[in-house]
Amino acid sequence: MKAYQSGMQKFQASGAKVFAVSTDNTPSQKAFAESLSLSFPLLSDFLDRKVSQEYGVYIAKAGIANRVTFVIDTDGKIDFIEGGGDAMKIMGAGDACDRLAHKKAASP
Amino acid sequence: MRSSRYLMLASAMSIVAFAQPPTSSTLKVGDRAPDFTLPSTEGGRVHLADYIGKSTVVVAFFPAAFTGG
Repeated sequence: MKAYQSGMQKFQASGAKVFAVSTDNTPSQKAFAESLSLSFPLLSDFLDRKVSQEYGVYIAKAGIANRVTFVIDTDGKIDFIEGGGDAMKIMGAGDACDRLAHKKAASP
Repeated sequence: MRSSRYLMLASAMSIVAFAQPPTSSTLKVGDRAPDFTLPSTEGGRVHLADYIGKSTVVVAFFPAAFTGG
């Protein structure tokens, strides 16, 4: 999440909206967001893990979501998928946002 | 003959195993992003559909709060 926070300027410059999703409950996420001074919302998929499952990132054994980032274009289609390892790598997602911002600017 | 057939099967299976990225999704680029409504740390709920058509949306799944990255 720290990587996302430091990359926020790039996302914001491209006009992208960032949401981070985990299976934690909202109070845990709030404490986490405050501890890192995150400037984007964390969304809780605590109740039934449905969203993590629908995005195909759910690790049933552990009850948590895998570290995967999706960039969704203005048509609601997935433009980019990035699986992170131990450290969140967001350059690819940032580049995808830039590319979409330029595409949007170029279209009438 | 039989053992070589098993060997071929085993090697074919290992190729399949290695072809899968370690952290993939069942979704593919170009697929419609599944809609969701989830409670937000900023209060209220976030409905993905409210943002589609307005801006690019980054949805970042992460394993659990207070983990690295």
